[in-house]
Amino acid sequence: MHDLLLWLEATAVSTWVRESGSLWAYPTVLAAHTVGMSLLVGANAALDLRLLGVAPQVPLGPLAVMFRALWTGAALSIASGLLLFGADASTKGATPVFLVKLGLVAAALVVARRLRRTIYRPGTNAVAIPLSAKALAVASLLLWAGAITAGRFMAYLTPGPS
Amino acid sequence: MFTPELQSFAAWLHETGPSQWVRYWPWTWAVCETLHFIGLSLLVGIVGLLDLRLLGFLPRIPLPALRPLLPYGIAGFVINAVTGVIFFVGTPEQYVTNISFGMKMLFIAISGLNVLYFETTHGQRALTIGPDEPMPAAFKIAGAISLASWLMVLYWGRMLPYIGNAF
Repeated sequence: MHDLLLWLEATAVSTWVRESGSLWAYPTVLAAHTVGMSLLVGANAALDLRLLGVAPQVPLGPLAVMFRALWTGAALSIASGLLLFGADASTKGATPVFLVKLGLVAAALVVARRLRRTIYRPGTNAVAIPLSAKALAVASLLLWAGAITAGRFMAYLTPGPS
Repeated sequence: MFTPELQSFAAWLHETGPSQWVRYWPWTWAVCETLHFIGLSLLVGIVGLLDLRLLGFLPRIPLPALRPLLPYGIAGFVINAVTGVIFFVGTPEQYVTNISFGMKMLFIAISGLNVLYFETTHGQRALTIGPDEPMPAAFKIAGAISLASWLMVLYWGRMLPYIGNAF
């Protein structure tokens, strides 16, 4: 495993992200990671708030497109996250808080998927929000807050570039 | 421009009690950064949704129905303004002559003026927009300015350590 991470770290693209010093390398990838996160977490949080009773006049049907924003943000975060991980793989791979972050992100994405299925099941009355959807919305907000916390603390609990 | 004045202001602020207090506890920075990122997600999620609606997307959602979400977006902004002031007070020297910081503040100002102008001139009209009603051009412009300038705020905030000297 460690050898694999060292190999990943030594690839041309990882070396470029880490060492080129270009604004298009580490800084731009990091900015894309932040924009992706804000889209992913922001869209999900807006949905969660609606399900928890904020803005009850907003019809749930058209709000389904929020999932498109959510998955677009997820794709951007994952793609940029892979590049950031590659640049620093052997250190990040051995950092507990990074593994905690990955676990929380994975759990939050699973919750987002289940949330969609719970609300938009065919034949479901779109106006009534089942209690299970509210529980998922609370779990979603807590998991994202946890994932952001773990992500930020990586910069302070890991040696190397933040 | 004003560089010596800004630097002496930063040096003075750096020695004040509040500034020393921010730097006293080593985890203040990490905790405030975490809150700053949670706040920005809330802000982008809620304000971005409103902007998309102003631009004419999601036509089946009546614009006034989205209004109750706004306080949560404002809460995100307040969290970030407070933590932002804490960062600035703690280490003013890394911001006062930082071009990224200047750009970030510029785009926050543009966003703020945009929303103030929109609320004062079109706020009442916005409450009457029903589903599938075409958006007036002024609404689309306000939504586009907001979306673009918040994206710029995020970008320049992220560039603070790279086009500039902050961490």
